Amino acid sequence: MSVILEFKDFGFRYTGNKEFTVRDINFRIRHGEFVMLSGPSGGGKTTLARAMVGLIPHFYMGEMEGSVLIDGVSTKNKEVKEISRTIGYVFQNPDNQIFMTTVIRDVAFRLEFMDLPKEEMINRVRYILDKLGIADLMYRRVETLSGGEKQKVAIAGVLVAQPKVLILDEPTAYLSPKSALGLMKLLDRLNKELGITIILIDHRMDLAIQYVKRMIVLYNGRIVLDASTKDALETALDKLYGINIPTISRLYHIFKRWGYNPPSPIIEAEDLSRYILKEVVKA
Amino acid sequence: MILVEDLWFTYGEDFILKNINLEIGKGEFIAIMGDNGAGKTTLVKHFNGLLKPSKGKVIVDDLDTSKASIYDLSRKVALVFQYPEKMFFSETVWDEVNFALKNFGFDEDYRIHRINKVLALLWLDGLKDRSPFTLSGGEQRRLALACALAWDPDYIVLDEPTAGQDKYQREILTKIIQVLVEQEKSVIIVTHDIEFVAELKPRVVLMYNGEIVADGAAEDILSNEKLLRSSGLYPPSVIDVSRPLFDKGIIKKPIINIHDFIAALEMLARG
Ligand SMILES: Nc1ncnc2c1ncn2[C@@H]1O[C@H](COP(=O)(O)OP(=O)(O)OP(=O)(O)O)[C@@H](O)[C@H]1O
Ligand SMILES: Nc1ncnc2c1ncn2[C@@H]1O[C@H](COP(=O)(O)OP(=O)(O)O)[C@@H](O)[C@H]1O
Ligand SMILES: [Mg+2]
Ligand SMILES: [Mg+2]
Repeated sequence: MSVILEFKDFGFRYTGNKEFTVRDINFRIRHGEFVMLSGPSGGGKTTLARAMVGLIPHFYMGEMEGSVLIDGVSTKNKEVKEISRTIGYVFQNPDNQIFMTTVIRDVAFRLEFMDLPKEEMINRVRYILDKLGIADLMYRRVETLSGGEKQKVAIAGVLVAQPKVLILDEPTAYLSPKSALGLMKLLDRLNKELGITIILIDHRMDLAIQYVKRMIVLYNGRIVLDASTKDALETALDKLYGINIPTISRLYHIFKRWGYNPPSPIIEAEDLSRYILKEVVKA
Repeated sequence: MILVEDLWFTYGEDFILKNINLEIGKGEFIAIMGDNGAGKTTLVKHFNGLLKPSKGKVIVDDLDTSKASIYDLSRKVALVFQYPEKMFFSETVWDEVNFALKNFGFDEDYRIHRINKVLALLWLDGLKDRSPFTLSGGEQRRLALACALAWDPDYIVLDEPTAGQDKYQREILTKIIQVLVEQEKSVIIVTHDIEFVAELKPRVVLMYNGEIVADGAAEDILSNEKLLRSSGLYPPSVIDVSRPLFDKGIIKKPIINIHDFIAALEMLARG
């Protein structure tokens, strides 16, 4: 598959900061990948997301090294608006994203320059709200939404335009377990059925583990790990700085330390129980 | 004590809170859980008088929130919002905490003492000259908590404190909560973070559609799969692993967190 996004010796220092926030960043993302970008708070995840959508260098003041290429073209030579047609970015904080008065207006906003008939626009908005379980909030004023509802509206506002690449910056932070799982399933479908490339930024692995194939970990502004999810959980636990590791994988490593050999760090709970019953507590 | 009696609340049309009864004692640690839109934030906004009951009442110690001033109530009850970055407006981290204290008219010596104390407690001393707006999400979270703890309130309400927090910050938060509870503060968290609740085992108040559907020990509620699922939650994953062992009678009760599970397995291994 061809490369859609490439970081080449990228680095960035925000004006006013002494140190570079991120440095020596090199990686490529191919069309159709579902990648997780993780690492501790302050590691530089959001900074990389800003660079992927051109907010760095176009909006954030600072010193940039190297380059970021979208379909082979440097973000320096593209306008943010143009990039946003290819890459949808769900901000870490929905308040920075939602700016219209009502849910329908906000979500329809990104469709407005597409020249769709009004009815088609409303249908698309309703469809995506329905997928996120908030169709009944379509005509609500945004300031009356609960935290999780607001987060869903921010997500809907980006999904509705069906960008080729989706970057979601901690999209499940304020979602209930049920809503979060619903979102993961939706992302998985978008990825598998429509081939949308997905970059998920998150501290927690338990939700995404079934869907994400590749993990990139940022620590102190450097990439310290770029591996398959399974390898990351099997052999690189010490590199998963700040990440909330799934319970099953933690148990896997504890059993290993005890001298057992469970099949994999990413198995279903029932399979692990069966293993425990067979090997660990074979009374 | 916070006492909620027959509380009903509406923003205008439907009732968002329905017949809520709740008693929160000094030094209690409580987690309010439930699906998005269940009414959790609406409920906790009643604790410091930000919202007033449509019916029923909320009493904090000797203050009826319908009659007491926001000033008196906020001295007692600190509320950290779901999206804390919205509250910041100072130029530096230090000033932001200082502002919270100035509001209550504390003198400078006390302010400096408290600011240093809370910034250290929240690992923010290194960032005290930075602008709150340039902090990363997790750092901002901690700053909001610092502001709330600054004037030493008795009741601390944290709306989704672990949202967007990495492992280290959850560990710091765990310690902070333990310190607060030891100091006889009441700590009330609103959270979706079932693993966090399973580890800390607070009393759990479960809400669904504006009502309290369960109120009890974390171990009872978090092992009640049916109840959880019907409220938009799932059991912690240790439950899924330990359930078959419980069903076979190998362990005596369902286990909700990894430490307890490991301890139980070690016991079994030793025989
Ligand atoms: N000002 C308002 N006007 C009308 N409805 C509102 C208003 N504020 C909140 N609501 C509605 O009340 C319900 C409860 O909201 P609340 O913020 O208490 O939910 P929550 O349990 O905190 O949810 P979340 O987990 O998403 O934060 C939601 O359906 C929300 O849309
Ligand atoms: N606009 C900004 N100005 C100055 N420093 C910033 C800005 N945005 C982020 N930073 C700093 O860069 C570092 C990385 O932040 P960020 O990319 O938000 O990390 P993450 O998303 O991994 O939590 C942090 O120390 C943060 O304080
Ligand atoms: Mg971030
Ligand atoms: Mg809420």
